[in-house]
Amino acid sequence: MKFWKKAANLVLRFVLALVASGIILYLSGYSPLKAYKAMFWGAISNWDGIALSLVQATPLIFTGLAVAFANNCGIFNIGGEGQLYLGAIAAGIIGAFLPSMPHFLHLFLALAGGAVVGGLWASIAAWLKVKANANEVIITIMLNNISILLCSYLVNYVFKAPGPVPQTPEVQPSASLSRLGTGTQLSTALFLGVLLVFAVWFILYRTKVGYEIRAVGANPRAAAAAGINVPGMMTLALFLSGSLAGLGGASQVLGLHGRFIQGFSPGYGFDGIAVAILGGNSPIGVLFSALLFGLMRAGGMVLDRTTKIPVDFVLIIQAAIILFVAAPDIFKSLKGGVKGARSVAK
Amino acid sequence: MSSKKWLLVVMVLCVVAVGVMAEVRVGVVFATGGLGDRSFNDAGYEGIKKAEKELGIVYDYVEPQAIAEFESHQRAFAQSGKYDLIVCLGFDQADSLQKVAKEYPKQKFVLIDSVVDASNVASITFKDHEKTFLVGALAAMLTTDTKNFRQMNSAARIGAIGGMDIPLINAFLAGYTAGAKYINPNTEVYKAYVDAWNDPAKAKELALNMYNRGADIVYHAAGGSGLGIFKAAKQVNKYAIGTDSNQNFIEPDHVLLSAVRRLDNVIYDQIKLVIDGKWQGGVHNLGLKEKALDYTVEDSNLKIPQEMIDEVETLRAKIVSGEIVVPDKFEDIDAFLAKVKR
Repeated sequence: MKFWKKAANLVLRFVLALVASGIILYLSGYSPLKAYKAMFWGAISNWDGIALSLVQATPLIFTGLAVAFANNCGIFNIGGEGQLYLGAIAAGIIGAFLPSMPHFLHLFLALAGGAVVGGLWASIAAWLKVKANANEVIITIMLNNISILLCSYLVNYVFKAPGPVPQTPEVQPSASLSRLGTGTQLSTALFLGVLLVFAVWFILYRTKVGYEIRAVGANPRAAAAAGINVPGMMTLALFLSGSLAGLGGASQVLGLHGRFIQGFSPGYGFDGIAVAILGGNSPIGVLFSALLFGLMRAGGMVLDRTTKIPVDFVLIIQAAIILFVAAPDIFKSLKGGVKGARSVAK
Repeated sequence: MSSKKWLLVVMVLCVVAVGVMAEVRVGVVFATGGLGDRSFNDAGYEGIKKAEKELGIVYDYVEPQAIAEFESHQRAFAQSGKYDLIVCLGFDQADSLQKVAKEYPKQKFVLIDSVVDASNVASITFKDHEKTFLVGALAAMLTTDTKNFRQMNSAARIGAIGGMDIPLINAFLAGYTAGAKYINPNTEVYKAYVDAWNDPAKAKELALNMYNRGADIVYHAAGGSGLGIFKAAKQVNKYAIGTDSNQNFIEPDHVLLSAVRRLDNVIYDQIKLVIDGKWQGGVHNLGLKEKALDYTVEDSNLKIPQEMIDEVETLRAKIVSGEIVVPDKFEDIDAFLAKVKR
């Protein structure tokens, strides 16, 4: 049973990560058991904890899908963070500044705006890759900085809300992803994310375009020989990848913050890389690994709040889990990339 | 167990229970820079620790890693009902506090650096430009003082590095610039932004660039990033000015003084008001007059000449009396200078 072997392997790595960070905790004079209890029990033992985990997981579903989608075409999109920012600010502007209109139309426009802007931004890298054979890893990384600084300019000078805080005006109710109750940060953004998981799965595995994208990812030369438009597929894959990241930003703005705020993302785009690879670049895998990351984040918050253990240890525990659980796959996929034989997730 | 022992146990429990009930409990939600920034968050933490020592309060705190975390932390603190006061540091907590304060109208909150319009929130803002005015004035005097400071050049050039290009930080820099130009209109003030509160490496490069262009003194309003400026000052053997808390001790041979917010006093006072039953919500805009702002030369090995200190103290008196109204925007500086010249 290959699946069970892989699952057992993951669990073993997870335990090793806890042992490693446990040793660090113990040597620093804190009880690892107490820390883990606060962290994991706190995140799953009550509805607030579960809701918090889902809130934390939501943006990672989007950015994880974004990275996974491009990976399926053999493209490493590290630009998720920048695409997320632009998608967020586009949705924030459309949500706040357009005149009032029916709810579903306004919401659709804001989401679509975020998706298109994120997608077009990613397409710059695709265009340079196709036209000038530029390395998409370098281009997407560099575009992150440009995008974040561009957003910083826009939110401070062009679309700033009155007051001392660098943020856009509040999104109108007609463009909001409604919250699931008053005392929670959970919003319909979560449902959108889950919906996209299935949409991406459908595109990749049940359509001709998806088949061609995966074929290019598996072996671009063979795909070209078979008559597949390789540059076209790469451009399309990066566009859709960027759209997914942009939708992630848009959903944070429309569902969680209610406006674009400078510095709202603590690196959701980058975490998407680990989420995608841990999820084996498959949409369903991304969903589960995003939930695991969300749980870890939420647990970290509970740990920080309920114990005297400094927050730095939360980061150590999280980093250890990523190192042990996801890093081996990251290295494997990078090595595969060098040889030019990237695996297409089954 | 004998009944006597039981009685003793019950008595002890009662005493403990009374002790627990009498304790004032404070919850703190720090800004995303976290503790150890030797600046904004640490200054606030000083006030909490002072209240622990002198008023016997107990406290819990969180160090959020992202803006999205504020709301859930604020709500969890409020929901528990255990806290007499919840202190929220940083302007980016305002949006979430707006929601949470409404959900828990009986919970008292303090918000630093922004305003939430609710009767159960005390919103504290600072006229930071007043203190940076004094610091800028001192910097303008010091940068041409080649007699007392061997590393100063004769050019009237100073620098200022902000954390982000936002109105709050620009008020710091505008006050600094106005103060410098008030002393010497020909002072050139370089400015730059790190675009992060936790990137000392980038701040260091920005500062080195300013020193290379002939600035002797660089001031910062960049939170945790500011630590890089002191490294730069040490590397090229020049001078720097600290911010928010007393940062002179970090590089005592290079940091001349620090412009401080007495965030410690402000937060301590808020806690004391709660204990005394005199706490009130509303907006409190604090400046030099309220002694919420100051500068300090303590812990620096560098000696600022007394006549300069005297001159700055005269300026302080003028600001407190309202004779000088310090501008908090760059575009108002020219009008300000034209007005004070008359």
